[in-house]
Amino acid sequence: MAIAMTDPPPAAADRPPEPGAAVRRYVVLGLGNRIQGDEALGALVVEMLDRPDGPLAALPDPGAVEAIDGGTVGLALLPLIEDLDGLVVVDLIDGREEPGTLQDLDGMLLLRRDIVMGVHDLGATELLATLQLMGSMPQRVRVVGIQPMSIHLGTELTPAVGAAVPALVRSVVGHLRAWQLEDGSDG
Amino acid sequence: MAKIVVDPVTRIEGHLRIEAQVDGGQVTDAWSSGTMFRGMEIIVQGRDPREAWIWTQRICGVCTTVHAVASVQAVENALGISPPPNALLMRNLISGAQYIQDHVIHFYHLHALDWVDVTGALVADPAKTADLAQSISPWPLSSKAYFTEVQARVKALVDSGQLSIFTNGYWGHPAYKLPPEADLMAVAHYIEALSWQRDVIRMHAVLGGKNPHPQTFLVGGIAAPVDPNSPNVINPERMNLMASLLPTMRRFVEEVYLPDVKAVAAFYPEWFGYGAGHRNYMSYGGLPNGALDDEALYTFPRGIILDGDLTTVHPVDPAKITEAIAHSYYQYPGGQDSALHPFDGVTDPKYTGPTPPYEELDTAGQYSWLKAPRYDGKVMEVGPLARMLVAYGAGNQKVQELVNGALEALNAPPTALFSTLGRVAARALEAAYLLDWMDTWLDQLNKNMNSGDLRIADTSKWDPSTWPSEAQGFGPHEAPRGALGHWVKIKDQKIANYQAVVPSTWNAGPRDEKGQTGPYEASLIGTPVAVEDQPVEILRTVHSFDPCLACAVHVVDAKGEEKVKVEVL
Repeated sequence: MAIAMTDPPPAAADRPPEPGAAVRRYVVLGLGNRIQGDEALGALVVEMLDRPDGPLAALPDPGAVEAIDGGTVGLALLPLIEDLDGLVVVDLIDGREEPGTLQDLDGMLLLRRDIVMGVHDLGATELLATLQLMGSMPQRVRVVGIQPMSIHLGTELTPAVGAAVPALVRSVVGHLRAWQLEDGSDG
Repeated sequence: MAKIVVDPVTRIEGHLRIEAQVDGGQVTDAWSSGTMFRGMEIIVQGRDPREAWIWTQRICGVCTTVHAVASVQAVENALGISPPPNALLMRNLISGAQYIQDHVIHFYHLHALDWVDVTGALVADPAKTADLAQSISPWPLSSKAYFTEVQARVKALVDSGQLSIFTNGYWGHPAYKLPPEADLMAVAHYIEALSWQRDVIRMHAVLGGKNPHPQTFLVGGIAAPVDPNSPNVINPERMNLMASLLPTMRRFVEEVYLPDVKAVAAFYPEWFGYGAGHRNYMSYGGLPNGALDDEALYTFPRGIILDGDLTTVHPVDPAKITEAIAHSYYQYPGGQDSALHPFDGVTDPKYTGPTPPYEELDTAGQYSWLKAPRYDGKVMEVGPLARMLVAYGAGNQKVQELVNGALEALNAPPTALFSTLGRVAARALEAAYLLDWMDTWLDQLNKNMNSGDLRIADTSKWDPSTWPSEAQGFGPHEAPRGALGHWVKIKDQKIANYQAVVPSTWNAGPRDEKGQTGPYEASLIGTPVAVEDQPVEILRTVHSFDPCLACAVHVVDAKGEEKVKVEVL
């Protein structure tokens, strides 16, 4: 029953640099409510990525990547995503597309749009805007998601969204791989 | 006469909508509507009661821990389990950190911009801002150079067209009364609070095992082992880490949050006269300092204040809680005008409202996805103001000192607390009240560890074969937003019925079968509205409750269309 305690994640600035190498940090942040149908997307993708033999294992430097289920926690997520080398947010995306359509957006471009702030339950764009205000924006940000079918109560994805998950995971891993190669990680 | 619609009030799609009738520059009637179905109760039916907390903590993002606490307490109550002191101390430390973080974040990031004009900050004189800051607080970030830098940073964002967070305000509205220097000071603290909160939440990472969703809650106690001689548990090193976080919490609350609330309130004295509502307040009480059910030792006393009478604190009898659905999108076996106790609660949705998109709710019929909770048939406000008033009335010395001190500083009578600004002030005072308790709880946990009391859970009833075939329990908890209750019925080792009545249901609920308005609705009546299509005054009162209509839905809007709709019909 009792589980082992793990160390709290250190803030970026607290991390001791490894001798001779720049410390790189990348995060996949899943957002959304676990019990709202397609809203569970973020949490479910993080679950898939978090397995030791999951898709992240094939990256040049899997140890530099953390997959976090952010739920709907809002600003409390900030310390986990400040000053990263790369951030991939996984969330539902409403682009007025067909349900199940994969969408892969540049986070910086999202910021140019009109944004509303609702701290209690805020979404990806508000988090990014806040990082920007703090001067802690990650080097690169992608927001990868799927057009939802249903956000009604439930713990399962709709078939349309579920079918798009493998492509979404490939997209997430693809960004991480490209960033790590750019940053000189040769595994 | 005009009707104003604000949807959504929380600035997030699809949760809370307010319709207000405005006549002669003030609100004459109001309707509060939850616009989304929340049916967590259905998700946990048939599950193992020991894992209900894992699901219920996903009801609401920011409130994860509070639902976990209420859920494990409901099951403990049903099965007659007494968690040992260390477990309650750690739950209190998690709750206390949550309160302090939540209250600060609410003030600066949800509410302050209803009072602070960001465009004022851009034209403020940094030297005068430094004078103002230094006159109200010893907080060190108060130099002219510092405020010059903050101002330049905000200005750079504005000039780049990317001041995204601040884009949707009613800037320049005549209801803004702060001098530009106070605007700049508040904006600086808005940014500082973002950095500050990261330290506060580390308390959850230490005690919760995992961030951001704590994993250590446990029916019977807490799954965070305490052992002075072991790594990877709550040991002296982690105690020291937690101890180092407490002064950080304290300084910001005492030197930034409280002085800012007082400074802002001083420029809006008339807001101690708006927003009272029914003046009935209820606190379940909680954060135990003895056994779970030892009310006398609760950090927040249990009780009810009726009609603003602080001389009498009435007891709370949980049997008198009911939920009405006369104006809610639900049906009960006993009909639309019946009311049910949560133990016998039914979550049977039946939408009868207009087909979206619609202009107006059918306020004569059903108009909300929230039920209307009542205590003994009466409307109750819950939250920090309710807790502080009950504690004040009950003679809690520390609370009386804090409240009287604030009233004196603002030159306001105790009746001023029944107001929009009273809620804002109560929240800040409550954060200050909890600072000493945080020290006490950590100190006690340390003492227990050093004296060899390492118990963290009562597991004697962990095995379902030890349970009666039927049991029921009530888990009351005071969440930052107010009284939260979980009710569980267990049959044959599974959940047979589960109901959660959350603080925002008490406060944001609609009218009942007798036509009694809910707290939001009542508090809005009499609120002035200077500019009908910019109803910042309505937001002030609704935001003063810290509205949070659970189960946020996060859809990134790729097309960037306007999300907050204000309409004058």
